[in-house]
Formats: sequence, C-alpha cells, structure tokens
Amino acid sequence: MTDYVDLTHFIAERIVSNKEAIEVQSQPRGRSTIVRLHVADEDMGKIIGKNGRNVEAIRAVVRAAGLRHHERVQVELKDRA
Amino acid sequence: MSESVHGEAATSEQAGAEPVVESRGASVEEAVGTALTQLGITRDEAEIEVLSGGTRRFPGERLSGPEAHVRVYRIDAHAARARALLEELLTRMEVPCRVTVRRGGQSASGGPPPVILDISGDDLGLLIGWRGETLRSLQTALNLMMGEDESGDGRRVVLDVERYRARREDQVRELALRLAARVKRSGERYALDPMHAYERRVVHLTLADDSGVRTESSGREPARRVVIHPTGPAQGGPPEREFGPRRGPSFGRRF
Repeated sequence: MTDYVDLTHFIAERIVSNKEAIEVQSQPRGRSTIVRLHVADEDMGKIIGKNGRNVEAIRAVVRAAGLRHHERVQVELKDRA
Repeated sequence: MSESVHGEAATSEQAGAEPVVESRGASVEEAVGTALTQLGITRDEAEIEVLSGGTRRFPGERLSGPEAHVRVYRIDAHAARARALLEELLTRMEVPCRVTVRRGGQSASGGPPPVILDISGDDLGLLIGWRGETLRSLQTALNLMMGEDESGDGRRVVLDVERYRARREDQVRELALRLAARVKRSGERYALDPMHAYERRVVHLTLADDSGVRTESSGREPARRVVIHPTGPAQGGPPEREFGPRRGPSFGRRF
C-alpha cells in the first residue's frame, strides 16, 4: 500500500522553502482518496506554478502511484489552514 | 577480494566524453569493483553497463565460467543527484524499475546538454500515461524538486521510459507522411489532433522537404495543432489500403 501522504510530503518538501509549514493529510472520499496539502503562504506560488503547472505535475505523479493499486488519489491544495 | 588479479581494466578517454572503463572479472560485482578502483570513484558517481553477465552460478565455478564484462563510466554530480532523486521518488511511488543515466545526451537547442534519465522495467505504462502526459508531469516534478544548484548550471533533466520518446517520434513521423500523402491525393487540408510543441516540430520537420504540402500550426495551447495544406490541386490516385479500413489520426490511447 503506497503511502500517498509520505509521497506528497516528499515531493513538496523539495519544492518549498518553508519545509516546517508543510502539512499533509489524507482521507477517503467515496471511492477516492483525498490528499490535502498545505504549504506556507509564501510557497503557494512555487507549488502552484505558472498556470497551475507545478501542482498539476504533483497531482499526476501521486495519481500515477495510485493507479498501481487501482486507486483514485486526488491531491488538493489547501490555501488556508 | 583480489581484484587486481582477476580483473583487468582498460581506460579509454574520448575527447569531451566522460571517462569510461571496460573491465572483466569473475562476476559483475568484481568487474565493477575493478573499474571503480581504476576510475577512482564510488558507485554513486558511476553508471554501469553490463556487457556480458558473467556466470558464476555457483561459488567455485569462477575458474571455468565465462567472465563478466562491464562498462563503467563516470557521471557528474548533477546527473548523480538527479538519478538518486528519481530513484527515491519511484521507490516511494512503489514502481519497481531501474534508472540509468543515458550517455551522450545532446542539447536540442544549443543550450547546455540535459541530463537524460532512462527508466526501464516491466509494465511502466502508468509512468507514461495518455500520450506521455504522466511522463511529462514526472519530468516537471523532478525538475522542480532538483531546484537550482551550483552543480547543474541550469541543465534540465529529461526523462524517458523504455524509449517512449523515440518510439513516439517515429509514430508522429509516420503519421505525418501518411497524412501528407492523403492531403496531396485529395487536395484538401488536414488538421491533426492537438500535439505538444516538440511533436508539432517533428511534423513540420518531417514535411519540410515535401513541396506538395505546406504545414502550419494553429490554435492556442493546449489545443494547438498542425494543419497540413496542399500546395497544388488534388492528384487523385488510389486510396490507401494498407492501413486497414479505419483510418485517421488515431494512434491508440497509450504509447
């Protein structure tokens, strides 16, 4: 069973500057798993990227990890704690 | 382990290339050990190509069995860091595979040469995704995670899975030629499915020398597509048969 929280955290901490502010939680929603990612305000731009390119890349990587187990995993970016 | 006795290594240093050592030994491990010693580097700084596997199936067979033959070359710090990071990411994704640094990566645009990492293994379609979308995302994520460091000099990391990029390029080239023939025959322009910039480039380049057609891109990203225009009247001719009854720009959902 892949640890999606750990995977998301691993990716995020190598992108943001304020690593302490990263929070990741997961919860099931219907047949999917929702992974909620929170980063410091100053890191939001970096994590989202131009036209959401960066966050889309993170989503695709975590989604691909879920495909192995036939699980739908969605990463949601929380903008406020 | 007496590597100096069993192993023999030959160094060849090509101009501008990484130092390479070919080495033999009773086992792959031993041959690699010899080569690493010769190069004075650790395994983390090396890429290893096993040329022949050596065969010490049982201990004691080493004297009669064929030798292992390996080629070991040094990789720079940036490539080593990229490979280690990708390996760790794929481990966390629980995708069993092997990551190697491709030799002789050259730059398409005259900039600094990218580090090309090849991912190989079984059943890696999930890393490629629909028309390579997942592969591109993985590459974006990895480059982000690499950040900016001194060793990189702004060099990008390019990922490939089981030579997907090369195979896809061949497909696009073949498609372009087929559709150009159709456009000339019918005298009607043809709009291809939306493609990524580098795939559109392959279409333009493939048809650049064909005076019977003219290509241009139209539309906005991500729906930008190549349109193939005829430059003369319809030439007619037999319809293509060799491609089966269902023709069109489709090349399957995956790969």
